[in-house]
Amino acid sequence: MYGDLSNKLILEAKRAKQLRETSTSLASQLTPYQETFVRNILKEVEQLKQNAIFLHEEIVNETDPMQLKMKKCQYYVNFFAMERNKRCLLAYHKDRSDTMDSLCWDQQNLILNGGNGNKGNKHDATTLDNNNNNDDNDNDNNSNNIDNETFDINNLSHEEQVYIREYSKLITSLNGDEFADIDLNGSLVPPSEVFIDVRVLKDAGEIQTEYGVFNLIKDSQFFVRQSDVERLIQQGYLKKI
Amino acid sequence: MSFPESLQNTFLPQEIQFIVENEPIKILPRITTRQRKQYRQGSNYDPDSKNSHPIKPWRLITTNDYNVNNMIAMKSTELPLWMAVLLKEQKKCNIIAPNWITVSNLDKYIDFELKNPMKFSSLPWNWLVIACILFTKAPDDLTDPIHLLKSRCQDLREIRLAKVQNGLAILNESHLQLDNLSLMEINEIRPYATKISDMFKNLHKNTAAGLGEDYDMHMDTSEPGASFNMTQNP
Amino acid sequence: MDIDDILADLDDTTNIPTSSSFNTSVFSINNNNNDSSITEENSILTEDDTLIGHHNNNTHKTDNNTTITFHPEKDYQELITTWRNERMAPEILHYPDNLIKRILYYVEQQIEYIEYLSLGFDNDSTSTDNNANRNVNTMYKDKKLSLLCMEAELERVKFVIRSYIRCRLSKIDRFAIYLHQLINLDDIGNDELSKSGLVSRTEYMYLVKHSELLLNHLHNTVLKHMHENLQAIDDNNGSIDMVTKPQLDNFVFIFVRGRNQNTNDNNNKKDKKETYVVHIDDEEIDLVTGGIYIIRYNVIKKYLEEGLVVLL
Repeated sequence: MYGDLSNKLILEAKRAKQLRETSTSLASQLTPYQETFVRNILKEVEQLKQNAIFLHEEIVNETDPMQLKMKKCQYYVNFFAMERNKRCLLAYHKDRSDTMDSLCWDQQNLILNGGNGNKGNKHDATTLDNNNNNDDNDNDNNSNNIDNETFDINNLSHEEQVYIREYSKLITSLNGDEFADIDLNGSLVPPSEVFIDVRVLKDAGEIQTEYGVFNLIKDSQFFVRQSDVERLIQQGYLKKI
Repeated sequence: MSFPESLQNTFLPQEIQFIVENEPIKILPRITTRQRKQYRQGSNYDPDSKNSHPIKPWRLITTNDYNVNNMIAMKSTELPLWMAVLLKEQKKCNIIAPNWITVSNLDKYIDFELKNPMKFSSLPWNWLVIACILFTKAPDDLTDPIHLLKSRCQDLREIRLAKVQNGLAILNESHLQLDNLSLMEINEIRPYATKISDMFKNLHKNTAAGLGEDYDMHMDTSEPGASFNMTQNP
Repeated sequence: MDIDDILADLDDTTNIPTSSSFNTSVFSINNNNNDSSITEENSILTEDDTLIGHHNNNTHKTDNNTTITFHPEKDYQELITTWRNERMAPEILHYPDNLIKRILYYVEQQIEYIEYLSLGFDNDSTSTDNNANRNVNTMYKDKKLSLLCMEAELERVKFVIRSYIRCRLSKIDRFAIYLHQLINLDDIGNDELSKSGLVSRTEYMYLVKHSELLLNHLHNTVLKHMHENLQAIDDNNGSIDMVTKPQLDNFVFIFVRGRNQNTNDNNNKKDKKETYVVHIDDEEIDLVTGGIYIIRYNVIKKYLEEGLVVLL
């Protein structure tokens, strides 16, 4: 029946949404693009379009009022099916673009640093992090090393890859002059402990911060700015007390 | 989306705490920041003050910085809560707990709550957050034993929550007055309180539209508005 | 275009849509805005007359001898209120251009000041021209303490601005088509939306660019394959309107602040309490100063704009 495929696509979107909500891993944020579904729905739409043209001609030439009524009815049903398919396709794509937007805000470096010239090799997961060969993004902060999770750009359609890169650039431009000091990509949870006490778990040499040089010798303790040492905590050199 | 769904139309508990932390609280500093060169004129915010001497050691942009630049050890002063907590963590001050955090005062509030099923006692709008912060960050600054205070607060919380739940029974399509409900409590009931009211409103709209003129919408004699009010202190 | 709506709508019938294509070409991008925070200084301050005449004014002389008034404490309180209202309001509220400019200016200056102090603090720890009877070490620690506080404070301000702006951007995204229709309806030019004060220039740029990106994307993947009568993304012919509009009659929690602006201060019981009248359907209700209500947003909207009511 017309619209069945669309319905399956929507169920797929719903499933993806549930996955997003229950899983925090980056890989599960965007499930593979349902290219086959979309292509088949578009085929159905094409078929419906042909029907519409045909029925339209029939209606114009019809003289018998009873027949006319019937043909109009057919025409409407045909149209509703097209409308239905359109709404479902839009809902599916919009849901994904919303998710891409969120990803751009949360994981901007991952998006910006990857996907250059990596299209085509379908089954090869492309790592989007740690590629510092991107000119758009000189102001890299240390989150690059923390987020060493992979994000498979081949889960996105070609159009989506274009979209996500453009949107990412838009966000970067927002972070320019006016809000340069604010870091709009930063945390939306209020700062609680700007400074923390840490204990050194293994020797890490000297680190330079705004508050001077710290020599990180095992078992020593320091009072430092959390953002300065976040990386070292992640890497297991320091432990928050 | 630029803003996660979990943050839309609600605040995180941390955000409620953040809002409360902007409020002033009395402290007893253990350090002296007042210098011979004084900044007595109040919070002179001068963006170029780095060019004029002497340097003002504390310059703040969210609050009057006179107090913090004029702390004298063991002489009470008032600072925003977040700063008081920061100094407390550095063992540079004691926090003077507000009057209402004593066993006897909390008992009075509990008493009032129990005697007035349709009213909330006039606890400060931030009582719950203040209590939590003091319990965790400054337990030694509380006069009464902490376990007694904690259990009183827990009682208060439960009594008030039960009242809120009863209050939901009188939610309607018009409005509801909930004086003295604290911000944290509001935030906790927000998701369902607003949703239920919205549903009532829509139901009301639909029945009004669907049933036409001959149906008396106000067959029900009860007042459409409801009040969950409080007029007196305990 | 919610998935649940679509699923729930499976059996519903829809009408044949008329062709009212959402025209992207109308929205060109305006990139000539380069207003850095403080170059329009005088307007920042003179427009906002609430600043003038406050008893505890702090003044700042500029080169051309006009006196600029800064009141960071009051501005911060205003920012908090603005942020809280925005977070809880179902629609996008007016953008306080001057307030945000001033706050961003304080932030910028404070960052410089902290850097300056950190330098001084390095020097102090090595030099010996300190107070003779003062331990160099305590000096060192106290100064460090002030820096800690200032840094912590800075993070707090940055957080509020960030949360505020991103909350607004998400509303702009959600109501994008609706906002575009607003402009078309009023038949005002490209730059006018920001002049009307609803959104800032930056936000307007974001609205235009993001809609353009999204429309291109949806056009290339879906719409261009559709029947020519089915290429609009703003029709409401189906049972679900495609245009997401703010639900202005949604319920919100309010605090009636009244005219003396003492937020949450219930000590002035001797004064006769001011009340504000609202109308809900056929009913007249007095909102009492100091009261907390759960009430429809649209009935208190005008009091919110006047600052007599704040959202909780």
